Amino acid sequence: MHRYVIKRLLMLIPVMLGISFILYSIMTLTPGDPARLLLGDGATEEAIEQKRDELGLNKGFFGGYVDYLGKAAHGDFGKSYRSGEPVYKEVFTRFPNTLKLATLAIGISIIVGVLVGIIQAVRQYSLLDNVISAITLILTSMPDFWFGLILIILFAVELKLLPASGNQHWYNFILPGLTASMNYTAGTIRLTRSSMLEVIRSDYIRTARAKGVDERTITYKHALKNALLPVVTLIGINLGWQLGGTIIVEQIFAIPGIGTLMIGAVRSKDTPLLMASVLFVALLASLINLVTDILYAYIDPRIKAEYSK
Amino acid sequence: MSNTAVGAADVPAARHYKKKSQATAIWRRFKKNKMAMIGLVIFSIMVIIAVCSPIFINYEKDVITQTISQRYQAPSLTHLVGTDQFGRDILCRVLWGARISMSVGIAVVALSLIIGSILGASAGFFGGTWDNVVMRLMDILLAIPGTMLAITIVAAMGNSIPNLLLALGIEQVPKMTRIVRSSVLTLKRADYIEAARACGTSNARIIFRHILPNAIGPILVQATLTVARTIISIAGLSFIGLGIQPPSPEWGAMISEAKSQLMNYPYLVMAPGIAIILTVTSLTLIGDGLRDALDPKLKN
Repeated sequence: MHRYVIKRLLMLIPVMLGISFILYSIMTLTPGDPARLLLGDGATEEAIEQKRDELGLNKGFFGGYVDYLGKAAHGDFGKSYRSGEPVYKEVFTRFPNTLKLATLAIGISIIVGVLVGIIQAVRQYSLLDNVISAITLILTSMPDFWFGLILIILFAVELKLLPASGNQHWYNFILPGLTASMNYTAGTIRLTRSSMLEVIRSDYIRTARAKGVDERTITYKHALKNALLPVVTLIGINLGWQLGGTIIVEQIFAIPGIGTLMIGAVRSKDTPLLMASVLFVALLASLINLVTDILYAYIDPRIKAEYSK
Repeated sequence: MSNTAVGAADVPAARHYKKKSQATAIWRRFKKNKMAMIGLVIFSIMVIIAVCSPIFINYEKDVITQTISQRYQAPSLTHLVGTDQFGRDILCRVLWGARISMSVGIAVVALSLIIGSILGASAGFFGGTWDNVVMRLMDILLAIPGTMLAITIVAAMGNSIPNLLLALGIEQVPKMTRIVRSSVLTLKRADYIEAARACGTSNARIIFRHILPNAIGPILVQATLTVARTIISIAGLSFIGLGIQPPSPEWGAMISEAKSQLMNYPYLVMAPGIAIILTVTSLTLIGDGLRDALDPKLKN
């Protein structure tokens, strides 16, 4: 198990290097000069040249990348071209908003998804099951930004219950959280239902029934434990995706998170800021996936046995 | 010499016969699935709309010309779902939008299918270092979360159609590559491949004539779902102003334009949103139906 974890951690190094190289290439090889963008149209050629030197843009394509890696290896991810602040500061001031949004969304998707999925599985082919299936099908096909606008129309414009933008209070996050959770909730419902149905049909559940265990104990104690295994993986994947996937939701509800930071950084050709924000989220997502896999091994003794072989 | 000639004549005929019967069996199972058939009917209607809309809609006159005197008209006989903030008929725009979403969706699928098949099939077939290089590259692409890569590409390179296709395609290529690779891995040990190789068939021919046609099932399912995902992605990019630009009636761009009027005229966001949901739902139903039809064991 330890060897597996170490191997997975080591695998992250080439992946992060690869991501950084792709991002660096996209940012450097596309037209547009960050120095010119910063100084505006009125700047003289000398001033621009001086700014380019200052930002370290005159080292050539590979020179600049090697320079970046060298500094990054020492924990220095550079300064934002635009604000002059170290990029980690910008990332860490924006990240809590994204984290709040993502955890809220995942929280909703776990609670609603698992509960509704169980109810559906227990009453398979009932009217309730069919209605919920139809709703989840539509929800998985719905663009999240559209769902967000509908929520704004309903709760902010018509009922005037919740604010449509801002991030000062906890209730500011209700609508964005619901919006971001929508697709994931539908996915969790579908997976819980199918996984539960599969487990309910298995032999050990039949044995439990034959022994006369009551239906409630079977559902919640015997079946649920096994049925939730794939759901745990899905939740881990979702949380990783969610951290990088709230960009559009942040845009709708004007939440200053990582997504908003990242879009601004690409637009102003702020290479260090863009690389720091994307790499940070990518690293976090990969680590979450690793933790999920480890957790999975711990809750499923069959897999744990496989690793210790 | 005469031996190989007989073998070469027999193998394609046998393969053809098998392919046909398999396709018929799959179609028979697919037809029994009520939801999948509903999806197929809805999607066919959307395709017909997309193909035929130039016959009854004039792009210049009906879709982009602004008529300020006709702004915010309620639904009526002349404007079945009303008009938008520039006096344009919403129904005409939504119908024309089907053309854009469908063509982007199909182009992205074609792109990811071609690149994904070549990479995935060669990686799975040859294995070794090449397999490692390709799959690690795909791991890197998959590790960049959500739409971040697409947004970076479009925002940095400009939102021309080729750049949009690249941005959306690059998200889908790794998934396609993995699916093709795993199919190839299971098939390449099959006896008939061994037989083909014994006949001296070239590697390229084995991959493209013997392996890929038999791996078509999972690829087809993935392609259907890719069109669905792409339609949502392109709408999302257009919504935040990085995709297809107004006045083009792309559904996401229409929702983006309508957003500024959300307080007073909320109905403007409805029609394009419903169009997206209908298209994507129908594709999801088809994809699910195909998956069940291809693998009848899976369903029960």
